[in-house]
Amino acid sequence: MAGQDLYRDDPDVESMLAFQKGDDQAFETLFRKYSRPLVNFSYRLIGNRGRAEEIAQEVFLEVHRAKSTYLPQAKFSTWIYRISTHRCWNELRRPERRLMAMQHRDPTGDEGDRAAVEPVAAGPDALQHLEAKQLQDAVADAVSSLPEQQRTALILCRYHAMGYREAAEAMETTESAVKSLMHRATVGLRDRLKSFL
Amino acid sequence: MNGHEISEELVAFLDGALSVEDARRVEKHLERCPSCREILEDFRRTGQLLNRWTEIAPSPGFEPRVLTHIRASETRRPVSIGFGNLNRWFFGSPIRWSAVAAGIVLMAGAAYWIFPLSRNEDVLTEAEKDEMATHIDLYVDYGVISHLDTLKPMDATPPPQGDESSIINTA
Repeated sequence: MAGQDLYRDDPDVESMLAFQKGDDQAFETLFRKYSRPLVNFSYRLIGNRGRAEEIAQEVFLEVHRAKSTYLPQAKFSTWIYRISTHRCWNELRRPERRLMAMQHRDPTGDEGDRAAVEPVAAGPDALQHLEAKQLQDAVADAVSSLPEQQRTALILCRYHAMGYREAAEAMETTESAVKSLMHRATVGLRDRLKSFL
Repeated sequence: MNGHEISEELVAFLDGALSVEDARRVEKHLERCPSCREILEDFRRTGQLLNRWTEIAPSPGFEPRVLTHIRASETRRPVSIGFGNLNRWFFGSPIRWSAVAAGIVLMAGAAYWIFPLSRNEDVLTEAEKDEMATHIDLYVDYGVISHLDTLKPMDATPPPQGDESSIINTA
């Protein structure tokens, strides 16, 4: 019980407890705060925008269903990213997805996102724009090519401002494991992105 | 720590994830190791490159669509009868399980009165009992008659052993 009290200062835990007491507005507050980060987390991890949105929806549905059973045993952000991480890993391990990944990195959702940069008239701006787009694609490809665990640790720590301990809790592993994953991920990215350094 | 071990600490060093003591050790090593300084610089620039992968915005209408879906799902959701939930529901309230127990007793009582044919004493009519008593010798297996109260008057004065004529006289 003392452990639960540790997290009661977390405003998001407070919102979840308020939701538990019947305050539906508190759930919507959490939803608005986390929906975009969770869509981006899933998108960066699985590389498909449509599926990333579906996973974010499933995560919030799970949070909503936890209304009666929720106990604050971690920061709310750790808890919700843990749910999301497991759903993304399940998605990545689906047999049809593995086959798809072998054939092409992402034939459906990703292409649309990568092409989402608005067209710019020819000129110096266009060149700059193209370079920026190429760099973004190169970074996205490099991150996507990392092994699942390294990618997850990197995305949590680099794009979601998590410390190693919180990332470890979200991934249900140890802090030293995250430290090692981060080292290997950074070495891998440095090698793949050498031409941009 | 040698150079190789230090290089494994560099990412954590950049992320501020080392203890004060380890961070000092890395700093000291970096002061006298140009190759580790170069690796550190590569890692720093790699980290900066990651910022070039910008966020995506969820598709238009994502938030209201998902909120509507969640509300609709919860309305449609059947009451869970998982054992965990059932146990919590049943044993969580003494009033609830007392009411369930009372209901079961009432239903059993009602069934007793509603279905009389299931009770042996009402299986035979009075005429059938008389008929049976008259031809009792036909019933080789007395176990088929489970209610013999009606036959008792016949057994009230058992005949003396070996005197068959007394049976005829009594009848």
